[in-house]
Amino acid sequence: MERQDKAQDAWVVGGHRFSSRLLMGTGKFQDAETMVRAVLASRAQIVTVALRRVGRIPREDDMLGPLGELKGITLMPNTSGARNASEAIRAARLGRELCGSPFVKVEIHPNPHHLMPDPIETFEAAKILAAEGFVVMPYMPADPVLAKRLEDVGCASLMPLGSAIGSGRGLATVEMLRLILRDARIPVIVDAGLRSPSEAAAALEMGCDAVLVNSAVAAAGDPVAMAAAFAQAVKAGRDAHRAGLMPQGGGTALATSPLTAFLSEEGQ
Amino acid sequence: MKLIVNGEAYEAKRHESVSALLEEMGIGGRPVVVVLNDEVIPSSSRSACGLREGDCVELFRLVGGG
Amino acid sequence: MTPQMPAWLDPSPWLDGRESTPADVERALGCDAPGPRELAALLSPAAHPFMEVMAQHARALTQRHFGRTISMYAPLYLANYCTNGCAYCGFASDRVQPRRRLELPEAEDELAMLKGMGFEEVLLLTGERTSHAGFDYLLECVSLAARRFHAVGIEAFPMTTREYALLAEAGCTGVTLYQETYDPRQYDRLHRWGPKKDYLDRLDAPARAMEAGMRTVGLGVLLGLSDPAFDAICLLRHAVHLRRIHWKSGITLSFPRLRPQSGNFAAMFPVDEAWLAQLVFAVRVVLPDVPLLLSTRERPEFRDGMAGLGISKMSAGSRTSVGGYGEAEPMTEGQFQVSDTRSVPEFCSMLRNRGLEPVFKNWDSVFRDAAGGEHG
Ligand code: SF4
Repeated sequence: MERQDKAQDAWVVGGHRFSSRLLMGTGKFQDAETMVRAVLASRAQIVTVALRRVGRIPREDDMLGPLGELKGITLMPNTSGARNASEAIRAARLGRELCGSPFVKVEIHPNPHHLMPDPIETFEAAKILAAEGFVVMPYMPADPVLAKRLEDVGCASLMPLGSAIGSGRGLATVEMLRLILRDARIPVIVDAGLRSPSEAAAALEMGCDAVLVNSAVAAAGDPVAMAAAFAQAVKAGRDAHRAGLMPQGGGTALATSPLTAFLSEEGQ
Repeated sequence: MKLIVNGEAYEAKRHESVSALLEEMGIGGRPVVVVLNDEVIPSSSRSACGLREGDCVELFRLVGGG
Repeated sequence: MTPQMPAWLDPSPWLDGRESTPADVERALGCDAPGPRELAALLSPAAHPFMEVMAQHARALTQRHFGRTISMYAPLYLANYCTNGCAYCGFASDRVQPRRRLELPEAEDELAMLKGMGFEEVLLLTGERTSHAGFDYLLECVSLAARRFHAVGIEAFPMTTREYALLAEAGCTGVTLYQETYDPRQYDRLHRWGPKKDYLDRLDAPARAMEAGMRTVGLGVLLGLSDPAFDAICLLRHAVHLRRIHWKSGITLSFPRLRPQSGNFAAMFPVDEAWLAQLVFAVRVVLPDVPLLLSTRERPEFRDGMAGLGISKMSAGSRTSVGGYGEAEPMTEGQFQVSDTRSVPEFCSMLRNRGLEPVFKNWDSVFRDAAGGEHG
């Protein structure tokens, strides 16, 4: 399976083609208007949403109303709130009903403090949902073995964390991300932990297919301006990846040859 | 008629269909997903689907999320 | 009919005729995630002035992943029957020479001798599948070897996934199967007759072995049969392809070089020691964590120099004829000529003098599942 479409520089996930490499979350914004403007400024084509029970007195703003009307945006429901696989599967089915999209971000974090994803429940949910035909995008620890396991059961992409959700610690998992990228046959999207556009650029530079941000935009001084900054950073990072970085402390030709002297002793 | 809506007791005045209940609750035109006794009711069959005493209704909607 | 190379193997995008420059070589040496492009640069003439720095990189990477150690293994030729017509091989069916196989008690004796020499890993070799030495014979030999050795590899003919699984169950831990050359036209020309003419079946066999749960699969090309840069890039792509899909198995790479042998076959693309060294350094840079093997085909001075310089696994004291360990005068000719005839103790003391520890056992077969390993 080809992870990228070379000419257009589009990327493909679950048979769907996207040109934007920035995915946006819609939580934690001060109001719906800011959120919608930030999504527009980010030029994201995949936007995550969550599922909640309707309150008894339905007075909450319909935050997502305007989003649904935007053209060219795929809503991807997440399973946040699920604490195990069966809850996540239930949430995914409801999300499909509401969004009419096969995309689902499987997200299972039983610990309410650090919100680290549960690898075992995530794997179980992903396996079942992929078999049901969902385009499964699992939020996961940056673990290269789990990555292969999730790929093997039919996930459409991998969404390893850069660092803990909302921690803003950037690409703390960079070495594990490198291993995941090395062997991945499906797109790799860094999800969670990013704080600044430069970190998003770094993720794209090292070969990630996309990044997903939410807090970094929602909690920025000016969320709309920050969304635009992320869009530029992601573009720059991707362009840099395609251009090829200059070598880092590579090598220079050496005149002396202590290690290879044995080669000249005899030719054949 | 007594129903359980989103886990709480609810006295419904209109219960001839799921659509009627949604109207009564003021969420008629809103995008919600209805789960009746653990079964998803597609929006196309809401007006045809009636309710019975003690039914469990769960209503979900989309909110912002990451 | 010349078989079509699958797209995942095709090296042509990196052999576009563009000459690599010294800047390309520098870039390759400093690259975070080197691939075929970087390998092509490191194999180019532009890399010649960089040989010493490539050797330094190769040594540093080898030390980082394998420590100051060299893994040791020994080949054991079980039979020299063959129905194939590989133009370069002394066992080919048109070569006139005595044919035999080791009967099980004889195999037992040879295994005991290798064990006595200190080996814990043995590689069992045969030619093509024949009525004299077919699958069942090999299975029996594997069972025999697995009783004494912690790691038992085979280098034989391509098999079905089911057959590989049966071998794994019997204690086989590795399958070595060289494509010899990845160039389909050269392959077709050199494999004059026999089942080995089936390029794609052979190409697919390592994946089947991994599917069946083999712990390691050894790939390689016989240097001298085709353009070595072409074959090297294919070898890298083959390894990367397998690593992505069959991620529970390991890969090793070997670099056998065509030497004069009983067939008197002259290499069409001769590879000298300097080129072989460049290849090993380059492959080490692009695959830092893959074991790289060097056999006794090479002369002692070259082997001494390469130990730890990319190379992490070596054989020693090898005999390449059937029954070669037990007999003073082997009844048959070897598959290739051994250039490094030093004994195991001699070879090990050389390694130690160079600050390298020979390692005979890397894992313990006691941990092996009764069913031959879980794979799901
Ligand atoms: S290389 Fe192997 S298959 Fe070919 S003739 Fe020699 S023993 Fe037979």
